[in-house]
Amino acid sequence: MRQGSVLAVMSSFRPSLVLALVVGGAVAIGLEANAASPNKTADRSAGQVAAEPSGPLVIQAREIYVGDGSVIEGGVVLVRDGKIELVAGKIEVPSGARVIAVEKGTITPGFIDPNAVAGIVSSYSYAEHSSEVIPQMRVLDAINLLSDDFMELALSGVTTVFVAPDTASVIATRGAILKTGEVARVIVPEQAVLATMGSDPTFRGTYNSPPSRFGTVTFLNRRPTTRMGTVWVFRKAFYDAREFAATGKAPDRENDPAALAVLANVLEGSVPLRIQARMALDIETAFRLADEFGLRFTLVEPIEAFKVLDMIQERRTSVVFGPLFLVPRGPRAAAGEADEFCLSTPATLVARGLEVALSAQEQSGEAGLRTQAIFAIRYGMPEQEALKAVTSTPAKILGLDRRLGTVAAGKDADLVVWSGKPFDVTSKVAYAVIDGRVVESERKQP
Amino acid sequence: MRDGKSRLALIATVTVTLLTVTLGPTAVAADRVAIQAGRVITVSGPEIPGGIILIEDGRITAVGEGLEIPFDAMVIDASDKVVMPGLVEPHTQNGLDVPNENLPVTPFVSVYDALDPVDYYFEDALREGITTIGVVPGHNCVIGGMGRVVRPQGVTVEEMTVLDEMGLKLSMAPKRGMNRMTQMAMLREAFLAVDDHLESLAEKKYVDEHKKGKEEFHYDPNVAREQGRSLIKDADVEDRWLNLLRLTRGELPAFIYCELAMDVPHALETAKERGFFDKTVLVLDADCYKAVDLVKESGRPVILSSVLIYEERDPVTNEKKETFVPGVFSEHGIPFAIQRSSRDDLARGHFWYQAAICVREGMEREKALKAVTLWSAEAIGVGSRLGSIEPGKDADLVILTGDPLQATSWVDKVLLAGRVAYEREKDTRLEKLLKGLPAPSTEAEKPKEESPAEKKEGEEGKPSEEKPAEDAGKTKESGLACGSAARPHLGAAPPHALTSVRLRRTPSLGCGSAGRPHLGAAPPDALTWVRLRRTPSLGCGSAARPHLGAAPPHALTWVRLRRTPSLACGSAALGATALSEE
Repeated sequence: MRQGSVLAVMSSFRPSLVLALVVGGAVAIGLEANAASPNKTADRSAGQVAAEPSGPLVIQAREIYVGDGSVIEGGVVLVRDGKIELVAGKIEVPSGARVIAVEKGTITPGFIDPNAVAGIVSSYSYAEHSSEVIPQMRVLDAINLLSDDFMELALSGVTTVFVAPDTASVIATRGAILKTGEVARVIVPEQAVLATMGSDPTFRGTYNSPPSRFGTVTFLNRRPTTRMGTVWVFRKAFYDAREFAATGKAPDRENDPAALAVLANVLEGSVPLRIQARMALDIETAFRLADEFGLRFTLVEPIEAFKVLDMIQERRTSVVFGPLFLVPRGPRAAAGEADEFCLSTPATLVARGLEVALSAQEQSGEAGLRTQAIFAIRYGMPEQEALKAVTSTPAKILGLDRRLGTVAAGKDADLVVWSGKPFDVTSKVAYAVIDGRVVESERKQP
Repeated sequence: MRDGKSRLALIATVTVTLLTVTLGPTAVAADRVAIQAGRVITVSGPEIPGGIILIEDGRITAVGEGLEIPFDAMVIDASDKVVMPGLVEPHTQNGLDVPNENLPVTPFVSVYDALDPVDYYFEDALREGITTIGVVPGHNCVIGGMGRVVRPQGVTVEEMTVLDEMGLKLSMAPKRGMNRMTQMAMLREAFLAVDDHLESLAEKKYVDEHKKGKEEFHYDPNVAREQGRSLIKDADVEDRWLNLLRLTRGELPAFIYCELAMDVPHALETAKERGFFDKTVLVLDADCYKAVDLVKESGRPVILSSVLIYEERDPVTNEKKETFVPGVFSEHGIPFAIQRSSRDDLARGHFWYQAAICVREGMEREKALKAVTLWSAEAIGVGSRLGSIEPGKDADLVILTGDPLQATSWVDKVLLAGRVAYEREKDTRLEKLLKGLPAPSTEAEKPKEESPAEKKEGEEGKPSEEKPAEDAGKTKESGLACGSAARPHLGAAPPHALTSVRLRRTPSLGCGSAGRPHLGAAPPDALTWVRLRRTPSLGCGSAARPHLGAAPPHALTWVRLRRTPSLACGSAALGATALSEE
């Protein structure tokens, strides 16, 4: 396989390295063998797990922020069987209903983070290094549904997350969509495929890909090593996928037929594609590749979008933006792709009429999704647009806008009752409701 | 004074003469400022809607409703804005090139030598509305050295200084590579070393006093050590022990950092034992809330960390526990200062956000605001001068576009000692970070508190109204609009001076260009000169600070060659004083 061919080339030049390479190659082959055997985690592969039934619930607050830009003053929401039954000015409280009333509060749809990192046991179980093209694999298999992360998210008002694949691969795994809460509930086990432009696939992988003793990224332990290589891997994969789709046979190259099958679906449009491209040049590259293969995609984390606004506007590409930062940290600092940024970028994208969803990615707590929205507002986004960017827009991007994203009859009863205005720092989550059930926490409630 | 520094006086005289020629009588006009505020948050008392603040020579003389504005006052119209005292950063290592020495015990060092006046941090501080900063050595020490309270503006440390001897930094948390036992041992050892030094010094002084030319002199060392004590003068004490000696005499405050609750009793004990208990300020990390009773009993001022909500996990059950730390102190009736997290933190790097968290978690708004102003000022020993809007206090004020706890509010202007030190509309760095914003949907909407979403939109859109960078002429005009009539030197900056600053991408200089009048008024070639030599500290000050700017360039060079920045700063100021005496 790949490691093997490297071995063959290398052994003729550097016999002293052969032993180490044999070990490395063996491990890699072993991993692929494992990956090839079908995964049989029953409840996860089965897809959607039904929500437990709940009694009727009546929620009353000063205002309802619907999530589509409109505000209902003094409304009441009736919830039954996990769905919103009625949004009205006044209703008769059904018998046996639990009533939640927050006098100065606001009801919003549950927030949706379309690019979260949550419930991942550790990064070692997250970035797959056996191949650069792994859309046949699922992030879901690395998620601990019982993780505290999901309770924390729920209590901070985030009720649905798309758990993002790791960006260490050129074409990474497929993300999963989950509802948060004490136990996360899978609603879409395999959603979008994430591809990554830029340097993430080239510089990552030193810490968890054998053989690691080389310290730096070299072609011995990691490919590609440059942007050029990244683009090549992407193109080759989709070229093969196109051939696979046409002939039904995988070309005898490196790419796994299972991967090509998924990519064929991406080409056909039945599996959504995302491309992370932070710098302007990477955004350009993404569009170029998309044109080459006739792909539609969601642009993820375009930090330098402010430099190529026209290009993005022309394509009407939807955008997942965030997290905002004042000084880059973590992966984006390490990538060196966040040196130039503009705080008003999300606001500008919205003003250009684009669909923009906000994401906190790996950040939580005081840097979580609501804070992202608060600062998007501070940096120029209108309040209701910011609300859309964390509710209805991500719902649309995730293809779940029929079920999620607004406070409307017939939708999932994923609601947040805030103690005041949702984007005032001084207000907090009074109640989070997921599928009609109130998330109970030990924290004090007003 | 003049005799000893005749050359200095000469320069000063030249300076003042030049000044008189270039600026005329306005340079000596009385410095009166009046702020017409939409709302004044005094912090020390109730909020005053529609209040007026009168300032004379950098101090607040009156605050209230319907005050008469003196005819010659520069009026700042903030009638649609909120005025509050400048925020106080009580304890930071920012602005220092390196926060700690390698040596564990360094009571003899001072942040004076490590403070970088042109550090971005100070520019950022102004943007945040921070007007008072306690710069203190870091935690990685046993005895860290002397801190200093500064304003975030100035080109020399002296100019920035509000309080030169803020206090000595002590740490109860082990210095890197040490443990708590060695930490405490080293601390005790340091005080014992002072004792030893004093004993031998006493003996020496006693002998000097009594020997008086005798060939042989016999004495009882114990007696000598005891009686010689009174003969010691501060000048006799070795420099490295002097600060520690003064600390034990209760002449200096001590800022004692406690990382864990277990450190608090040690801190208090040491302070009591060594006689500086009454001067002790406790710098407490989040865990120390567990020692709240001890803290309460001690009655010592408290500076809390930036971690307002402290997460702990049960080591066995892994259950998470969250504690709102300031709430614990608040419930015990203890006043406290809060810190912000590092300034690159999107949310918690802002004091307003930290205060808003406090309110969110149930604290009274008044307390939350005090924790970032008055209580902080009190903790670092400048509470009588700063931290609230009261007559007699320094006019270090922040003018905000809205309520301080609202995310949509921006610092519009900052006044340091009655002078405009920051203006948002001239903040080129902010302009760059917020560029491309859509035009506001509603024009000329005055921001109001609790305004509906649409109005906030308008308010947020404001930055786009700002003039583009090339349009320096207009920027200048807006500078004129802001009270330049009272201060002609402010508006007098030639437009190309502003442009030149921007073109060179020197935000620290560029930001201040007009907001820091002394810079803007400098002729462009002066700026260039400065930058070429990379000595912004000297370049500043030119016109608003006449003593420096009016000095011929070679005079500055002269000063710099001798590496006496303190003289450079003071030179003309001293001269000017001398002149007025004449």
